[in-house]
Amino acid sequence: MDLDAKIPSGSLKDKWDKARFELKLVNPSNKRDHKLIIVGSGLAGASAAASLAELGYDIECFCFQDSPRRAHSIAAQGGINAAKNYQNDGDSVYRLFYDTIKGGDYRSREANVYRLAQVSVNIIDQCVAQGVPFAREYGGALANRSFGGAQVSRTFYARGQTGQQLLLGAYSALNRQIDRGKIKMHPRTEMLDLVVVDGHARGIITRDLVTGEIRRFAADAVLLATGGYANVFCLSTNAKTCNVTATYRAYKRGAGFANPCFTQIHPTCIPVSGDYQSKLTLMSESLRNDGRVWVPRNKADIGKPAKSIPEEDRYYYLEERYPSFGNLVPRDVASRAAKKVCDAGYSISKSGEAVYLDFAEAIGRDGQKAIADRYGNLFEMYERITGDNPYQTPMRIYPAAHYTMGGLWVDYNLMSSIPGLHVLGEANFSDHGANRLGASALMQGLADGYFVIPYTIGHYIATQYQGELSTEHPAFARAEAEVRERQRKLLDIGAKSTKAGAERKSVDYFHRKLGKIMWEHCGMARSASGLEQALAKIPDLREQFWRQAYVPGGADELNPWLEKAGRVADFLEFAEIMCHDALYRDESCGGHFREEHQTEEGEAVRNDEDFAHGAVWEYQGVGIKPKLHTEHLEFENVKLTTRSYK
Amino acid sequence: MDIKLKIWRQPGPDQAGFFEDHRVEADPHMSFLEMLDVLNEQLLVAGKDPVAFDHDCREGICGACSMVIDGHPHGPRAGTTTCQLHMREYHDGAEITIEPWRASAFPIIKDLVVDRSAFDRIQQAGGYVSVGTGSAPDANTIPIGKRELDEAFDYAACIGCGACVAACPNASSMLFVASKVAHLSLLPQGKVERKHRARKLVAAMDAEGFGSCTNHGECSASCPKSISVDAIALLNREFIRAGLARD
Amino acid sequence: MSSSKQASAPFDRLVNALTSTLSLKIVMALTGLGGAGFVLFHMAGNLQVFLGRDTYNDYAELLQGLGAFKWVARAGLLTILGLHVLTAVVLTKRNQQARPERYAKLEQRRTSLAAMYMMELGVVLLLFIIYHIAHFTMGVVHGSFEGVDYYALQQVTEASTRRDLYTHVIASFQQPSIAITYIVANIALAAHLSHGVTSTFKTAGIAVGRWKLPFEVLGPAFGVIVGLGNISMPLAVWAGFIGGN
Ligand SMILES: Cc1cc2nc3c(=O)[nH]c(=O)nc-3n(C[C@H](O)[C@H](O)[C@H](O)COP(=O)(O)OP(=O)(O)OC[C@H]3O[C@@H](n4cnc5c(N)ncnc54)[C@H](O)[C@@H]3O)c2cc1C
Ligand code: HEM
Ligand code: FES
Repeated sequence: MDLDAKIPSGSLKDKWDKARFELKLVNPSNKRDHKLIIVGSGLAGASAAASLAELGYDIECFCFQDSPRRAHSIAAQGGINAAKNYQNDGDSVYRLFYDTIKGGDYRSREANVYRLAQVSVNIIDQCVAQGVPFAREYGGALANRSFGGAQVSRTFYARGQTGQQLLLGAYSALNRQIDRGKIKMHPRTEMLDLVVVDGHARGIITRDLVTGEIRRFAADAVLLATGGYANVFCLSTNAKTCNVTATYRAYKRGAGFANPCFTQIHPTCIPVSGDYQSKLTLMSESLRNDGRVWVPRNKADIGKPAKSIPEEDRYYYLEERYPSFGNLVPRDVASRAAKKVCDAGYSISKSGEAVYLDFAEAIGRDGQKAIADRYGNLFEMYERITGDNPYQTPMRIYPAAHYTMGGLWVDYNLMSSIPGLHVLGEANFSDHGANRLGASALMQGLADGYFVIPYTIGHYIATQYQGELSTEHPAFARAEAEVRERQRKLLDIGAKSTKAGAERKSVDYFHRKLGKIMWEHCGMARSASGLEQALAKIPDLREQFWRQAYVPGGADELNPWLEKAGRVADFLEFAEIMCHDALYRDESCGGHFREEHQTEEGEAVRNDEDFAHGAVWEYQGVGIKPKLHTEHLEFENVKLTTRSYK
Repeated sequence: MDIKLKIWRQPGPDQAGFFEDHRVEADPHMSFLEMLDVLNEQLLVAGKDPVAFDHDCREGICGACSMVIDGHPHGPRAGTTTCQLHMREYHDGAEITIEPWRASAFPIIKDLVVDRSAFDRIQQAGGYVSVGTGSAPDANTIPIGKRELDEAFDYAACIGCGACVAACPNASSMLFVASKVAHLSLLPQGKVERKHRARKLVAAMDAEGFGSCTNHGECSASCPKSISVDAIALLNREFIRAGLARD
Repeated sequence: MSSSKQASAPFDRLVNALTSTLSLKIVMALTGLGGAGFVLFHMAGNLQVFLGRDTYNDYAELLQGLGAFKWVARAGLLTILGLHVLTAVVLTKRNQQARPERYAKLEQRRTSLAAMYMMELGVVLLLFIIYHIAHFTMGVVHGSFEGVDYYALQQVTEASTRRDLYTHVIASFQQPSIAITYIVANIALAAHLSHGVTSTFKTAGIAVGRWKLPFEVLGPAFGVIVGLGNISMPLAVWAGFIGGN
């Protein structure tokens, strides 16, 4: 596998300029003859589709939701970072770059991250011009807030719905090109396989989710902007339909999957309330600005009402362990600390998974009104879900799977190890290293779509265009046959299990089981023995799935259970790669915490000597350990230090 | 808690629909959709066809979930999507009727799932600011007053779920269209194309076969984002202004 | 240039502007408002019935004497009514087509009963208008009671003959069935206007923000005033307050 990152030479600052000059251009009048497939209409996909259509390419865009506007990006709450330095508080492109590299625990590419910081400023301009109503000061200038413990205020936000407003902006740009006839949009259409011809990505096989029709699409290049795979944990903050299928299918066709074990656990989510739980709701990170996290100091107090526990008997573990950052430590640190106290038996709930986030002091200090102004809608949401009033009793929170830094490996031009296959947004292994900073995913998705891919795709077309191709090519027929066969097999398990009178199990049952295994062994803390257990359990579960999972309905109709079955089947294979990667990465870094590698106080210990690289996995067959490749990370500008939030 | 359900079942777009009775054992902490998950699991294990419904984010922002619960789109609680509704709103033994959005512009695909692509087509007709990637001036070039912005934002909060259409006795989509028009025409960026936009969106709305507005206000009362019915008067104003304009 | 922009050629624009639901709605609002204005004027004029026979008949004669203008006004009113009914029918039909399949249950949260039954109320009004014209304007129905022809011209003053509309009104309203018909029709009118007048200003894009509340009050107030004003006449006659000997 060729893992040449194609990073331009020259100084960090000049690399992107240089690349833009050196990347070959496509003659404007030829662009309309080049068809591009874009899978995904989230921030990354929609922004790419709109920008490429503007340039003149012929675009086919796909999403499985009923409307591109419902892509999972819609759910982002907190904000989007940009190095505008509007607040004059010392921010700069370099600082954003530095914070991102450091926040990612030195497991990302300098050149990519620097480019991300550079184009971040244009993103805000672009979005404002589209009509995105970012928060403003009374004077009319854009407002910013500090987010996720950043020491500068560089986060732009739109109430608690930044993702929705940004996506509506990108969606409107997409609509404009659909109106112009430059984009053909295919909603409720799921990509089920990638077609590779002569080593180049040349098309996809899709299923129309309403009619069940299986179709072939050919193009000159394929772009995946299909989001992250946090739902491998079953319970996560992601939307219910988020899945790994697109990237996993590409992986099976030869694309390298990088750092799959780098997943982010968000510290402030509403805890699980019962077995029926279907998803976990994120409570904005901003709550930690005023909320204090604690558990009872004495086990005897567990179960008592929070109010009745005196101040001195409360263990404000973040404040005590990290005096300088306190409740504002980064996500991975906060999450692990919660796990640690709960594992030690101090959880405030029977489930063993909850800690308090208490606003009593802030309300006492600033008054209820001030707190309501800041967090009113969040408090309301919390109340709606839990039935508790956070003005009176502390919130209960617990970490939940949230974001995946890992993804398909891409070079500086966002091209995967399969030529022609480009990967954008959360789907690629991205710029966040081993941990993503708050408000940086939206930035990356839009950077990829608006400002990077429009330059780099042209280079691929100009230099490696493979000529016309019909969907009659045998590679399409083969891929389609495989898709049909798989679908038939999934529907067959149902039929078989009915006939045999065997116990029918729902697909959800297997998803929940898999989630439990992953959460336990490949979640917030991992160990070699745990991962080995997981690697033993997953194939068994997979085997049971293919025997017992009951998929009702048929292939030629709207069948959400068939859709889900396909996705869970892929998770059941993909989970193994995650565990292999976690097992291989014998160090603790960012969101990846190996219990074997911690200080006496429980802080992560990185191993730069052996692991300052991206681990990229190549498919070898289902259930077979994938082949490892590495991309060495060169740090020319920043010095690798130990992250400390003490 | 023991819940009795009366749910609309319809195998496909062209097949006849009917109500089906079910019982579920629910927990007060469950969300409404989790209660339906439990029902579906029950049906599945019994080898029956589970109930299809749209949902995705399950936190009230994607606008996918869509059902009329006891005569109210998204259920009894104001300003709440179906996915945010919890069973503690109901008492033990409650009987709940669940229907899909009903409008000819939202044909039923299956059970509770309807086709809302009409909304996309309306937006494609002109619900955007024509700005190309890369051509934007610095974001702070145009100051926008906080009041103006807040007003525009109230309309931008629309999640496109279609509850307004579902609630309207005329199945009108005016609140949806009006929110788009109001959001953009209240902001300086969107003012340039306002006339064109108002005309195009209204024409597209008509072409989809939505009803007209009798100013009932049911749309706004059922809107999970509580968007003000003022939007509609603003759209009317935009439309009249566009009609009187020469260009 | 976007394709949809090219499509908005002048002709298309005209067709759109004439057939769009919003345009029809605006026509309905303007004609409704015209009707409302007429109804208010009509009521104010008729309230002179409380001022006695001569004043009332003077007023009636004045209106009758307008000549050509009268016919212009009548044509205008008929056009207004015609357009109003036409748009009402077209829009109501579109509304029904927009929801062919009814809900088992759809509860209202904010609208009023009046708003829900605008068409039904309108039909009542249309029937009433026909009846009302046949009654007082043309004398085709209830022109005479108990052998007395109230519609005929009478020698009211020495100088001239004119219709004694005053007596016709009193005599009519002394018939309980006629009085009840007028009362019921006017309740329908009050209801129609209480939603209609407010609605008009929303349709016209005026009742927004701080102007919303005043107009939300105006409609019902207008409806109640016109309704009570009109109903007061049959009631007064019935109670023997006017026309009693
Ligand atoms: C609750 C929550 C809050 C967040 N808040 C923030 C925040 O405040 N700031 C921040 O920076 N980030 C935040 N994030 C992260 C951020 O929202 C996501 O990382 C980002 O939006 C991902 O965008 P995307 O375009 O890559 O993918 P997505 O938005 O997930 O889009 C994926 C698209 O791909 C399509 N797709 C996927 N697979 C297929 C297939 N097989 N066939 C066809 N189509 C397919 C989907 O239909 C969809 O259109 C948050 C995430 C969550 C869960
Ligand atoms: C005395 C005569 C009448 C007056 C003064 C009158 C007045 C009004 C007014 C002011 C409106 C509000 C317009 C708007 O919503 O913007 C209205 C609406 C309406 N009118 Fe009338 N009207 C009269 C007779 C009729 C008749 C005869 C009919 C039908 C046959 C009718 C049917 C309707 C309907 C259906 C509406 C509501 C339509 C909608 O908003 O969807 N009206 N009327
Ligand atoms: S599922 Fe997203 S709004 Fe309800």
